Amino acid sequence: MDTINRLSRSIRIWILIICVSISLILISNITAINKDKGVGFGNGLDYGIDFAGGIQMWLKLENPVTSDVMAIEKGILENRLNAMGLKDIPIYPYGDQFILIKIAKASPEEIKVIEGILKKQARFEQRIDGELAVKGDEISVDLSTEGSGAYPVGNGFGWYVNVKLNPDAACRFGRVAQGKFFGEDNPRNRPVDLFIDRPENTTILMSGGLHGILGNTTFVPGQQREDIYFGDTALEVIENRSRIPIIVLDENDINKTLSEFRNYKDKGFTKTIIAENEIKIPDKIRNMIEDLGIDTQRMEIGNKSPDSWIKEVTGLKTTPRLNFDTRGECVYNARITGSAATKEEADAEIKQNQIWLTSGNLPEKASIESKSTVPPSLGAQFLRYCFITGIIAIITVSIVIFLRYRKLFIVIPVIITGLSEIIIILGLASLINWEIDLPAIAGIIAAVGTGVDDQIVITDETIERGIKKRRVISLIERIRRAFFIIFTAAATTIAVMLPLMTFVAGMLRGFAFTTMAGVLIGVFITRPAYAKIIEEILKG
Amino acid sequence: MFDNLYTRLTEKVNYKTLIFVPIILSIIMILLIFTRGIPLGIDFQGGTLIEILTEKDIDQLTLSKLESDLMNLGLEDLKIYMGKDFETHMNRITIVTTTIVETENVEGIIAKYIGELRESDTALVELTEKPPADLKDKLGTRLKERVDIEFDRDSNILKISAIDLDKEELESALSFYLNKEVVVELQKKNINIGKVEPTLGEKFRSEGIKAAIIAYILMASVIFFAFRDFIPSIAVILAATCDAIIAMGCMSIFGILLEPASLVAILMLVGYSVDSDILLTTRILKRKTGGVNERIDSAMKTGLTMTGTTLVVMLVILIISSILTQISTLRSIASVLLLGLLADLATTWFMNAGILKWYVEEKGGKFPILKRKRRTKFRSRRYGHH
Repeated sequence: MDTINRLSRSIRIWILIICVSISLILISNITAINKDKGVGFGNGLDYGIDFAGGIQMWLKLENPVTSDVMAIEKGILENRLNAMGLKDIPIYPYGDQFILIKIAKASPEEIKVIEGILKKQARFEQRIDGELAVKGDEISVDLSTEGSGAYPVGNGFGWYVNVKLNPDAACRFGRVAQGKFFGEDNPRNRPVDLFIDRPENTTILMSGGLHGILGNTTFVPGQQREDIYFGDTALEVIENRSRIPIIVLDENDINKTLSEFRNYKDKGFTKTIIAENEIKIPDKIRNMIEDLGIDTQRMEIGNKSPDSWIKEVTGLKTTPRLNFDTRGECVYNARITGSAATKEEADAEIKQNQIWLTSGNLPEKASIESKSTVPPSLGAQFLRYCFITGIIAIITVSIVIFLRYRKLFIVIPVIITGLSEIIIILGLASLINWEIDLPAIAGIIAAVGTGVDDQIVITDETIERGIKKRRVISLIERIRRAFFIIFTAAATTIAVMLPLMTFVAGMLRGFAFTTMAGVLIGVFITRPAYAKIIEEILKG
Repeated sequence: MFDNLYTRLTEKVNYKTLIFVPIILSIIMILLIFTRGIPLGIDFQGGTLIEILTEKDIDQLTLSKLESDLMNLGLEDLKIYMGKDFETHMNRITIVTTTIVETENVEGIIAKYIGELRESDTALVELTEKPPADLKDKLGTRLKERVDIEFDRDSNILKISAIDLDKEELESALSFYLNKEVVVELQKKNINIGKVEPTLGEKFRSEGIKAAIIAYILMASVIFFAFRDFIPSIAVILAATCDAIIAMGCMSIFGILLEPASLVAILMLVGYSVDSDILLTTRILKRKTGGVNERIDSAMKTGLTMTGTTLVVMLVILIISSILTQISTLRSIASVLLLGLLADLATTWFMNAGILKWYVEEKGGKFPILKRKRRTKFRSRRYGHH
């Protein structure tokens, strides 16, 4: 009883208890670290592909690039995957030539599409009033520091990005842009629409109601931040400038609508986008269209503003206004300019425009170097196995320690300390959203292994003192030697792990991180508590 | 049970002879590594790993036919293993090659022996009419997964594919959306192909080796800084080096692949090795009473418990991961550590202990740091051992 009383007055024991409790709260998701999961042990943790399942791909760029160009490559891939509706696919550039992509969820078909996106260039187009001016690899962006810049203008910032066109594009642009310029900064100047992956052979199906609304939608100054309309209506932006035909659903005579689809199909339009929900355009009609051999896809306008929906459907990215007269002559160099409120915003716009402009002509071509797939159920099974292995390992350690000391009161604190260490490591991982994968589990084994080693050192040192010198000796004196061993060992472990933190985008980082975290937690939290427990137990 | 081990040991064998046991072993291992090499895993070399699950019983003859067919495709360093899958009790065939294979060619050959191959889970359902067009989206939301749907009009068979499908979950979801009981015929994915291009493998390998070398240098610096005494520091570093060399030699002998997991194991080994060496050095040099042998005996008692716990844990992980769970990462970590820690027993207690004994008895070695700082305290207090 005395022992427990004395322990309860020790600050080290309290620190341990508090850390374990906080960690349990974090791991069990009681604080809702992962909002999509409920409360449950382990739900507060993020799992890597080994346990959560998913697909991991390594991309290699043909040649090494600078970090600026790498950021652009990353941006292009992100933009295109997002445009496909695959949000939140993390893309990690690694070094100057490699990119790691992790996909949590995708169907087998979608994986093929993703692979296609990663390998192929985006379909880049610049159109003026629907006329193709520049496409694909005809444009190149000057990515050097002189190629773009931001400068103060009035109380904001202006920015520019320089582009070069190849001869074909230069002359086509000059021709298409003729007659679209009405004077410097004249509001009647036409926009140069930039599309990425504009849907081909696709029509849009909408109800008469929506058609009416879009026919009256245009830019209202003060209500919208951005003008994509340039005096046109929403319908004109879709049909004329994006060249996507609209089919209006005739609710009274479905056959009329279907025959319109048939006509478009004969012209090669094999896909359609359904602009509204089931109530406006029922599934029955969707099935009828599919029966014609036309692929359908719903992209509902819902509560979105018409301009953001148009951008989503057509692939329209940006609409800079033409601000010079080509007079029908070839234009080899052009400059895209804009303005922003702050320097940061201007820089962000430059980056965004560089990403768009290079989409059709990646600065370096990418190839898929490695691909691995783990089905989620297999991952869950792996996690369960690791858990079982851990439990059996703890039991074996306890048996060995019991065989050595023949005293339960030593075995129990060793196990409690070891478990606390695991819990606090996981709690920390949960707190900073560190992904738990197989290497991380190996790291936990390593950390707990050195932890048990250290506890044996502490126990032996304490027991020897206890036997030889039963007089009261200050605690620091008694286990100073033990702690010299522990600190030196901890410092070496950290020294060994530190370089691994930089190793290949995380393959060994998980291991190095959990080992280092475990060692530090051991030295500062669990070992002092264990020393206190053993000291008090041996006194008592 | 570990009492006076070192004293008893050195009564039988001269301690100076013991010092050379790990050193000679390491030299043999270095020769082995240079002549035989260490096999590289595909992460470090580049290549293709194919895993196939099948209910068919595959005999040795079929396996060798498959092997020769694959050889004819020009696959280099081809290795084929058979095993059992713990969870499904199916046969598992693992094919490893350093060549980057064309998926279709290889699948064609394997299919001849195994039957139909599926790269994703596929479910077939017989229906009476075309399912609603939005079934794909609804199923996706319900199953929390992205699925593909294909309906064959002539046979009225609906085909659903995804990375991971569960029969019961799918049946209940389909019954709900189609408003009737449906029976699903689920075929699980049975082939998994992983590829690493050689250039990426090369990158991983050079990065890994670079990280290991920096880690080694940092480790050595910390040891020198902690002990600030040349011979004991060198002894610790030498022991860690021998451990790593012997472990790599064992990898060469037993054909354990050098891959990220085993590289991790070697670094863990260095960590554990240094732990017991630091214990030994501190005990010998810091103690003022008792003979060197007695100090080593006491350190050995603690050290063997330390290594013992780690050894049994690794043995347990090795057994579980090779027989039951087949998590290859844990298996290669455990096997490398197990072999390395056995070597560590010799390097620590034969070599390191011997060097320190020679250093203290014949060179009058002391522990300068602790002695300088705490001389008075050490004089006033005598520490013994039992």
